[in-house]
Amino acid sequence: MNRNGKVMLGVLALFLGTGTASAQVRLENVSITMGLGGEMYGSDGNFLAIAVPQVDSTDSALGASGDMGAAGTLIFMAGNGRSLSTAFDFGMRQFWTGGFQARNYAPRELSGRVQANYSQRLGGGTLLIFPTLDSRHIADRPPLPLYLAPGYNAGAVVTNYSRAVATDMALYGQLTGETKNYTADLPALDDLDRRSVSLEAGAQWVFRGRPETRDPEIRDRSTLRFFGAYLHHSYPKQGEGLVRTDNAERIGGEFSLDRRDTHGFFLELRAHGTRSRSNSRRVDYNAGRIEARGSLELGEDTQLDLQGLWAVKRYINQQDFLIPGEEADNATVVFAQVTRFLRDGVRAGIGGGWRRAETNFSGAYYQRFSVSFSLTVSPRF
Amino acid sequence: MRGCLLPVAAAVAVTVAPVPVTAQEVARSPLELVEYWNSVYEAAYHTYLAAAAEFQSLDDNWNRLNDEYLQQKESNPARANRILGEILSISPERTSVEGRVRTTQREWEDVGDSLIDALDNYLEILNNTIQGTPLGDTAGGSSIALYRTWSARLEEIESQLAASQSLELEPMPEVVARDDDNAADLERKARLLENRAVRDSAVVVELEERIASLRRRLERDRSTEDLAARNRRFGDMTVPVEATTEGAGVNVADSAAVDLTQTPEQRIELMEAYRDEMIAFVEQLLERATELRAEAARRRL
Repeated sequence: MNRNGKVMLGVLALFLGTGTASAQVRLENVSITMGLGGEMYGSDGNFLAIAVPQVDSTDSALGASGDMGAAGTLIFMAGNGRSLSTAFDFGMRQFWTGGFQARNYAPRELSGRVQANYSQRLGGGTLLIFPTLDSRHIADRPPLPLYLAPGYNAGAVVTNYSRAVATDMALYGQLTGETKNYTADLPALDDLDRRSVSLEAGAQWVFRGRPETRDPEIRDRSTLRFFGAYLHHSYPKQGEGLVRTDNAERIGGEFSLDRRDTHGFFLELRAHGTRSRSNSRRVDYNAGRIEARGSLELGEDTQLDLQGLWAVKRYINQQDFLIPGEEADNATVVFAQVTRFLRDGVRAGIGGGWRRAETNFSGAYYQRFSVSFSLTVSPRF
Repeated sequence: MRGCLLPVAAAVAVTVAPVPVTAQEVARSPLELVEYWNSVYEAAYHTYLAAAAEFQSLDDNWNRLNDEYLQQKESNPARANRILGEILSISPERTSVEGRVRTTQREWEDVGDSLIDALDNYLEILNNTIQGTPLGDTAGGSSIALYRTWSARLEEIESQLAASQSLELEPMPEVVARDDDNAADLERKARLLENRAVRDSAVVVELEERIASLRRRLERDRSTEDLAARNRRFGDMTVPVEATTEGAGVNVADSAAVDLTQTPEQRIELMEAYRDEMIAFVEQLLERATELRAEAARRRL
């Protein structure tokens, strides 16, 4: 077990040791998903891939994939104004590819994520602590045009304190510390290893439904949140003598409209802008990002789920190369899935996605189209 | 067993005696009765809300002082003792207001039941009027408007009351066959038990609907989470534009939204357990009613 794993167990033991509430451990929200998909990859120009071990001259390729995933939540205690739970998520995806010039690759991704969630009422507000361990491993990583994010080990702790200051209005502060180490036999990827600290503060308003929806069983409500954040990233493997450090300010907002119980839809929009300055002038930039998530009921047994993002970045100074994995100029991701509820705890989904990332200075891009079918089972324990 | 329980209960419903008329209901028209109970209900509801708000304020203060006491206990015992004094001084008032919340809640729920009975009766009369009125008749139009207004009010009352329903079984009525009971007495006692079984069967049906609705909601929430989880699992939403923080996505600013006591699955399990208890209870009531009827038949011979 690595050091992060021991720290996680220690944190869990600490919380469990102080618990006087219900000691019964429950396993909830278990989902086991199996999926099959077909994909198409394309690129134009030469998206400089110095962090990918191979180079291939093809501009398009095809692939198929099969994946399995399991997620769930262990609830250690809930009650007396405190709760402790741990969410886990593990997955494996295997690709088969065709159309590459050098050889056909068979990348395999393994991922694991464990996130504890400790909540406690404190001083009229709520304290939340989320320690997270996240790991990703990829074997036989292919060259572009199939871009698969590199493997890494990461650990983060998020501490959030929120307090209602008026009816349906709350203020919050959030401190996040994170370490992320990329795992590959490539020096260029080591350059991306990072330590981060961020401090965020914001306000959120909740707008409940109309008088006829005062029933607490009905969740109709909207939320509006504004926040500002300061972020500090240091890259210990970049820079000789003087380590690269980036300092950024971010402002943003989020709006959610939850009408699932009365109109069968849910929509969440999030946007933020970032101004990042570094002691390495190469990577000074301003960036913006818009994310959307939504769901729409299509009849009694069917639902459409959507997720997407659009990200844009403008470097202040001339760029000659970028490091895929952290550095591109623009990116767009869209996913949609139609889910059919087959029976209690069993659902099937068919969906598709499109991802594209590009650079401004060379016009190079890569993109990926995918369609997939998945079957998910949620057993009850 | 559950399948045959409801038809049995429905059949028994035919024998249900009308609700006894209270003093306030004498010499009032159905609409006046509704308006009367509506005003009583409003007053009871606001009294309960006021008591609940007062308790909430006291309870928040009490919790804050407790937190402060624990923080100061080690570092500043003198300050901790002063805080303890404050806690002790507001504790009796807190207990008293908590009791008042329970009393006013019970009164509000009782009045709510009476208002619902009055509304049910009035809406049935309006419905009969509407059906017997020719199309386009102005009197029929006003009846429709009244029906809409009061049926909306009925829904509102039911929603408010549903939120306060606690999952506790009422005690089994103490009904036994005495030696001096004649056949008619026993028939009446059996009917009492059957009436109670009918009422509780309606609760079982309502519980079934709520459980099904909660399950559907849980499944739909999971479906939305499936897509997000699958994309996050394989890094498909990670774009090489900005440094992302793995802990990101945790943004809880709504203190009131954090439920530290029950998860949706726990809530469903609790309701299922309550439903099963209620079904067993109804079965017992019907069994005892059958025994009383058999005894009544025997004594009639």
